[in-house]
Amino acid sequence: MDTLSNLPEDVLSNILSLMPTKYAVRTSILSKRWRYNWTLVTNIDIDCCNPFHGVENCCSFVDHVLKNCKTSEIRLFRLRFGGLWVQRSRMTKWIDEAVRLKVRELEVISGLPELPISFFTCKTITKLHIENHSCSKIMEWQTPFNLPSLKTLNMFVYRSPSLNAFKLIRGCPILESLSLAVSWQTWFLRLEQKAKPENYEESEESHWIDPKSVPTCMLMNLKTMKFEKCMARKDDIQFLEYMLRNAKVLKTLTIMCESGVMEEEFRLCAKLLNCSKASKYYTTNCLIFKYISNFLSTQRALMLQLALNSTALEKLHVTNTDISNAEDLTLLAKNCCNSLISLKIGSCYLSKLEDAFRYAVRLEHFGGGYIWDEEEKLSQFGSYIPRLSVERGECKLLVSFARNCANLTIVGLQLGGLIALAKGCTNLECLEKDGTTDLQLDNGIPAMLMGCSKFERLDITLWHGGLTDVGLEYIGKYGANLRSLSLTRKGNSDADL
Amino acid sequence: MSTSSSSSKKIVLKSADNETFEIDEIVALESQAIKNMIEDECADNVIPLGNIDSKTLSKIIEYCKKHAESPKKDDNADIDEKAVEDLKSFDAEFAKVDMPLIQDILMAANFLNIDNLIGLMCRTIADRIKGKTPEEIRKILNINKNDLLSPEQEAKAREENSWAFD
Repeated sequence: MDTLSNLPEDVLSNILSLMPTKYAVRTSILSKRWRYNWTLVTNIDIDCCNPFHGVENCCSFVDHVLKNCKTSEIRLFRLRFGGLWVQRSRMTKWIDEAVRLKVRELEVISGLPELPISFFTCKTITKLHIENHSCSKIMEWQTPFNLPSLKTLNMFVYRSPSLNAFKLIRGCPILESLSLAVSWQTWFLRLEQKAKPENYEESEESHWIDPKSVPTCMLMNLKTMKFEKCMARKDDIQFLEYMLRNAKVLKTLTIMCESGVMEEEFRLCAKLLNCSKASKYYTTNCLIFKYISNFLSTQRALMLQLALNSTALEKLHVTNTDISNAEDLTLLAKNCCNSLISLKIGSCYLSKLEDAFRYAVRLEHFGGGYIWDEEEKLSQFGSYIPRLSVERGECKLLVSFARNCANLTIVGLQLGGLIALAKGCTNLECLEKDGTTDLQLDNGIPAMLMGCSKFERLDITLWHGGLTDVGLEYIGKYGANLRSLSLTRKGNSDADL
Repeated sequence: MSTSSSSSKKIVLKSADNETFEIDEIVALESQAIKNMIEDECADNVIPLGNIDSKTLSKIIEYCKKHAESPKKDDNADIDEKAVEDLKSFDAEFAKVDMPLIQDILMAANFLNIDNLIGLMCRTIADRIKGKTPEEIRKILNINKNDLLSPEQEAKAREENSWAFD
């Protein structure tokens, strides 16, 4: 008698359903008793991303599992094909089958996800995640749909959410959580009957029309909403404004901007911060901007407004900006102290950033334009930074950072910088250098290793020949304390390692 | 009897090896089976559990106590994140026992109908066997050598499910 053979089938089914289906199926060779246990699974979770397996083999496996599993209800049906293309008829067949088996959670990631008509009125689905990794035109979705049990929806929509996402929302009366990624290379999920002109993206015209009635879920259920890859177009703003004005129980709205156009993103932020909100739960924490790229420098008033209203910004990239007055930045860092991870700014005096660095305790990445200061101020710079990756930078600036930083990654460091670092920072325990420089670094190594006695880890990525046997020999000689060394693309021979 | 005193009412559980455990009713209510017995008023003061030994039962009571104390999910109030974390780490510690005991707890939890505990034990078992080689799994599950497939049978199973073995 083996350990699990006394268990009732439903418990065994539970255990086998808690692992990827591949592993469940592998139990078929354990023993006679285990030969067909895997067919009890109620979750089907198949990851076919590995292209070496061949799409056809993966597809046959999905067929095989669906044909043999005994369950009358599928709890989870998850197919991950990454960017691989799956035949339309096959995908349709699988999802039809899942709908017939009263699927509750469906997740499909593939190059060409195609939802069959049966799905549009699936009564049992509570959670839906569709991701599309291809760049082709796909879905013409003109069927009205009704998903009465759907609570969580995570989907790519074609560029204009005002035309597409909204129809989805209306079809899901008890929707609680909505996450939209606006896919703009693809034509996925185009609900509109009329084909949009190909040059749609160039027109600044808005296609949004305020709906006649507010969808049910917005009055009662919709609590969280996420909008990824927001292009900050007029439509987007109108759509988001409408959501804020009408969603009565919304607790958070998270926006990740990726337009790359500062002015538009700023306009979006300003509009949303100022528009009236219907939700009784609304506080300044409700509206979360996670990623802001490239603000326009002239909009200082808006920067200040954003600083005052943000608490969860993770990335702020304002590289073309002259931050002569860093007060707004400091305020922002203070408000977003638990979220800010990446900061890229334009030219600025380092001493003015000191407060911002002190607040932003989670900062991991810093980059930007010309950052400088008087030598005396540089040497006084004292904000402790546990972990930081810095893009470029003058030697003395790097030294200022490295003195206060135990784990430093430098992108594009040169020989002089390496030596300066070694002399200036005895605290450094770990250096990652991700260089695209073709400089010879051999001679910097001894200075580096002798200067930093605490040095334990050195990761270097170089172009071919940047570090030769000579440098490696130095590492061998001086790197007694090194515990971890990682060199990518080193020289021709490994002789001295 | 007033409601306040009923909340501190005691229930006595008796294990297969005749050890008795006196626990608060609220702790016993974590078990849907005991809850039904109490609601149907077919529970005496002492509930005999003839198929659960004292070692397993004391583990189960430890679990139920912790979960009965923890604040329940409530739609009106925001869930206390710290309490959730605390419960998570308790569960993780709780599951660090050997396979025979896990099996006993799972059987007992299934009998007593304690949903969370069934889930925890199933996850623990699944985590221990997924990704392991057949040999390793046979050892973990203590699979009897007499029950092994013949080489021909194994080859056939591998062929049928070939993708899973790549």
